[in-house]
Amino acid sequence: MIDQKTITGNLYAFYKAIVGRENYIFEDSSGLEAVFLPDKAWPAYILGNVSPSNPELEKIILKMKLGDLPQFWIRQMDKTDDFDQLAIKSGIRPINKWLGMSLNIDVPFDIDSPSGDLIFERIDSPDKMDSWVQRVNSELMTSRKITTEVFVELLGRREFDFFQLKLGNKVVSTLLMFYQKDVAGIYLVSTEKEFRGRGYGKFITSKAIDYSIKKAYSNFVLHSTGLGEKIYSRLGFKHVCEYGIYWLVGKL
Amino acid sequence: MEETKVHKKVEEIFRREFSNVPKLNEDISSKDIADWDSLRHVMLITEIEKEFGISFDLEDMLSMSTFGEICLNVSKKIQ
Repeated sequence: MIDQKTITGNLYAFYKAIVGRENYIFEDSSGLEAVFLPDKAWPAYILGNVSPSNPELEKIILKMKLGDLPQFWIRQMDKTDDFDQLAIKSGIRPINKWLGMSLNIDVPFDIDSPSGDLIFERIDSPDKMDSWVQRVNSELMTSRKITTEVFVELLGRREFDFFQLKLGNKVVSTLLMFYQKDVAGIYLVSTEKEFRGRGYGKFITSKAIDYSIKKAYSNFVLHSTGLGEKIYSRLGFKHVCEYGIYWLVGKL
Repeated sequence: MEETKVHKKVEEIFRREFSNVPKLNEDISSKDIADWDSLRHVMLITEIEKEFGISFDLEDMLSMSTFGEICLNVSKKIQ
């Protein structure tokens, strides 16, 4: 059984792996971690939980306001505390909710392609990264766009596999697999708006899992918005926990 | 507050927060306003809360996706 701790561990490790050790802050007194990339809009997150009664929380919020810590915060949701109310009073709003989901599987899905013309491929060269990033930006990112160079840096590292679905020359779906210890995390799954509802999201996820099973991974985790929950449930993923994404509301 | 006054005030905030706002009707959504993304949505709701002295929780905030739904939720809150 993959528990909440494992799912959270993969999520935090994912961002830390992207930014590298030099762009990682550990808030010693609160136990929080933070990731950022200089001059880049993404990723920039505080990671972790602090109880609303922790006196350090006020300092953390002040640091966010001063720009010493990122203005986005990923926090495991805890319905037993009143963090949301306290955050709102400080100008920090929950802007989204992710579901932490998991699947244990060691036999490939081997699902048929929803269209004969679809090509599933792993990205193995920087020249293919531009169209992948463009698709991610247009479908998943809003005011904060990812730059291609962030991901080109990660190509060839054994912790990352980039996948895409192409229809002719057009990239219609994306997925990034991140491996940490014996767990494979599924990230940045996107499908172009006009191609949604055709099974592409389910297909690229199943193919990426099949690929990772061949690399001997059997534990899979992901963080889905409400929109993706149905797709992943159909593949057998179970809902384990929830995360709130908070933003110190400010200028864009 | 009358419903038309709520609409008028919310419309003013829309025009302040977004550029190129078309003629507003109940069904106008993020698809119709180019810079209405998730972050600007939060900014919009925060401004509306300040204006009307109300507050929305996360579920409310995520569920409001059109001009009409926002006006309706504001009206309910200030009743």
